[in-house]
Amino acid sequence: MVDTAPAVAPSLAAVPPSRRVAPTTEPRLVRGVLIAITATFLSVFLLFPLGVVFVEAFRNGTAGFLSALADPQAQSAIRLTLLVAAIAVPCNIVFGVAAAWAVAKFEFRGKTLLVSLIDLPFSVSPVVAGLVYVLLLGSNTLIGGWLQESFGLRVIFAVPGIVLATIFVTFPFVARELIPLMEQQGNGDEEAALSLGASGLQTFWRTTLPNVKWALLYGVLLCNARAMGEFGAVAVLSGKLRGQTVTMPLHIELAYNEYASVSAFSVAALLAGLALVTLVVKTFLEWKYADHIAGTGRH
Amino acid sequence: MQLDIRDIAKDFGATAALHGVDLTIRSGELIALLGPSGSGKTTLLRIIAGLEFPTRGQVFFGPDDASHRSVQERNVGFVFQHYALFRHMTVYDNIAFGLRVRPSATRPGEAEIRKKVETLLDLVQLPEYGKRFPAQLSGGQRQRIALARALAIEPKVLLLDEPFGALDARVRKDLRRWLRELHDRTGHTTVFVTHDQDEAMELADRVVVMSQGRIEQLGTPDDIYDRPATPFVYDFIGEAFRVPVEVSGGAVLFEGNRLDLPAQGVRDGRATLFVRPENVSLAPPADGLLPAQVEILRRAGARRRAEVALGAGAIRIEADYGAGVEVALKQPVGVAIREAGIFPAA
Amino acid sequence: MPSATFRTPSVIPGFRLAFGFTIAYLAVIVLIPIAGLYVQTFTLDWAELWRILTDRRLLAALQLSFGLSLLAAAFNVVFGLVVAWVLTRYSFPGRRILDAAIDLPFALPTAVAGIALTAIYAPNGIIGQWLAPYGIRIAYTQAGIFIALVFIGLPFIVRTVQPVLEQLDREVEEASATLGASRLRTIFQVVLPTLAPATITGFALAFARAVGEYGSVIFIAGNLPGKTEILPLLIVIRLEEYNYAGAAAIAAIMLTLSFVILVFVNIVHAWSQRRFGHG
Repeated sequence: MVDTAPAVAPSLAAVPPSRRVAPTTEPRLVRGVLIAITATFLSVFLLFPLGVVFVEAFRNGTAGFLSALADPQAQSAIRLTLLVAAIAVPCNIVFGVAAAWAVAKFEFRGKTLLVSLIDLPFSVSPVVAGLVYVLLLGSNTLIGGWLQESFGLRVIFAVPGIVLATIFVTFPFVARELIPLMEQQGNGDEEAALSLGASGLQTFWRTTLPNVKWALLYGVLLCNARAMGEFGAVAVLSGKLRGQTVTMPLHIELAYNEYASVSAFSVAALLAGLALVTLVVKTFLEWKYADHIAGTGRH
Repeated sequence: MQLDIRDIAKDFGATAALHGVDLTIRSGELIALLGPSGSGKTTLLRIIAGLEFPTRGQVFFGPDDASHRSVQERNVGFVFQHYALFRHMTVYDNIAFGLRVRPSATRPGEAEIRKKVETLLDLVQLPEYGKRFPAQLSGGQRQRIALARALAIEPKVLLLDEPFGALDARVRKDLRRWLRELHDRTGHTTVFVTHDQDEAMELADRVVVMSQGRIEQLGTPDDIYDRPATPFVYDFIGEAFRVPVEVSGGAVLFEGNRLDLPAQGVRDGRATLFVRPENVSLAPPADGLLPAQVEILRRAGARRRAEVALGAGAIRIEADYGAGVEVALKQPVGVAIREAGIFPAA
Repeated sequence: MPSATFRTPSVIPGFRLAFGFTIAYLAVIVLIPIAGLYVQTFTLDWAELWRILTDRRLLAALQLSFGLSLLAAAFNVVFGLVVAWVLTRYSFPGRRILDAAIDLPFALPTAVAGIALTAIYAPNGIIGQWLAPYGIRIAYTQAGIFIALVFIGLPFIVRTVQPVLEQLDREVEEASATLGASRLRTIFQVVLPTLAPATITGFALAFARAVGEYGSVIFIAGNLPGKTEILPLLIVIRLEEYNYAGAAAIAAIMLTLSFVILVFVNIVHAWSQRRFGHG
């Protein structure tokens, strides 16, 4: 069958063909250099600062770390942060679920605008987020003055303000994890449940919620991390009254500015630990339940 | 450009995708690599293109060993299954890309490129589409632009990976005919991969049937259909039903009945007959015919089809029969096998 | 009230409740306070507003915040593309950890990042002490602000580019190679243009975040008026002076910028969807 028998050419290259680089990747050396750049860059810029937090926290040993946390002001900051998160996160869960239900399960005009507005707090500077409440609810404003006189409720420079600011900055987290997933899942399951005689509420609890539970957990996780760590918005309207309106991030600032480095870094280490746990759980969820989380990697 | 593939083997880790394939593709020929998924047909095509490197073996482009040439140096036109058009470039820029990336010594001027692109757009019958983006084209149009882009570099060979796989049935048929005409006009040596036997049979000068990294048969569509070389080809191409038989002294026996078929050099012992429905005749029971019973009757397009249980009833085959033949459900019938493949039992 | 033309009829219940609650909550938490800010700003008479906006200290802060944010975002585009490329294309030990670490700036509270960066780059800090003898100062200078802005901006680029890179069809790169393009050419003419919309989006997000960033910057910034004083800090300072109008005016500038960037990102997205069929 071979009519023009080609002479067997001598091997042209020393490299056996199977070891040649595939045409859609780069030579080994280039890959090595790029990996080295990435590893160095990420280590210096991201991992190193994280490590420093723990090093500084344990500068005086475990005892120093523990005594810094046992300090009454640190204790009060931890309690306040937990309280604020315990209010803000559930509020945003309820909102997130309601918003996702409205946006993903129905077609209506102005939907794109609504979704953009839900995302708005992400692009607002935390300082501005705090400021808008000061301007709206400060004791010298119309609403703020009325609240204080009628109910004796102080919002700004008090815990309610901190809660409000925290809700603002963590506002989109749950909603934006749920919306894309629920849109992608469509209405089929709900329509099936309804046609089988389930009530609206039963449909929600038994079909919708189980379908989105991992995305919900994912959103709650990110929401909580931000709620506990928020600094700028809270700094503007807390008034920083020790033992009363100082959250963990604010405690870090106060201690750091007073050169109580170990105290600052001990509380910082606690928050960094929370961040690490968040990242680990997040990575785990992304790995294990990738199909059940639509908005992976977008914040 | 003649292509010679010499003892090409490819391992992906521990699994072998190709075990020493030899194949010669004549200049100007249109060849189909046909096989189920995992048969190694796409791997072979990619090795010819230089997108994959073989573990062993050589590829000759004419008299030159191309084994050590990179894909860029091989100058092959490759059309991808999903077209792989550059989405951020217009149709015009897509087609011109291969000319513009040439080293300056061989790069044509923009005027020449323009002429060439326009000629190609005419050739693929999309003359007005130069300014569009791929996202604005239908699947069939994208396929034709992908082909024009591949032809722009004046390739030595044209390689197409499942060229019609992503298109709907009607577009596929039109495009098939169009590709055949185009090939006859341009005369490129062309290899295309497909898992669709109709496509391979209709389009190709010769068909390479592959299975599990080996070539099962190489031949014209008629060879492949009428004279399958292996049990695999019998099963894969067209319809065939297996009948276990005994070969004894050159005679073929089914449950003791002698069939009027040659043993085709199969040694004495158990063997398997591969019977196509169109090679079976039905008649009223008579001597010299296999006794059988009609089990199911159905109409398949222009054909009438009967499913009959042979002899004792454990073996069923299907038969096409004409209007003059009287058959009735659950009634005995005589079966004559006019032609069949015979292979030693595995 | 939702009317028949406002929404497409559906058998799924609960629209009024969910939609009503969503709008009410959104209004109370976000829209009314933000509207209040603009109202506050525009109650100022024009002369007053002009005086605030042309304040030398404000102009310096504007220039600093915008300039360094652009610079940091541009720096992050280059390194972010490399990082995204390496993390999606290559497999090497530790890849998963590095990939997870990308989100660190999102997860780590800004105050924690701020004091950690300061501890590293202060003149007596871990890196700072080696640079100090050569007269190189990072913390309490613009270089310190830049580093903090790089830190918080990186994930925006990486995380917007990564999904596009993952979905990028290898066939397209192979097609480029069969047409004779070198690897470098394929990357610059085929791969990078495809990543452009995502990169622009990431750049805009990183820039917006950098302009508004407070916590991770103020510790390392030094906060010298006219030199290392960023816009958000100026708001805080005005607020501490009980100059609410001044604070509101600066905030209005920043907020408007946020809107502009948001609209810009949406336009880029819509344009790229229309033209290339992907985001």
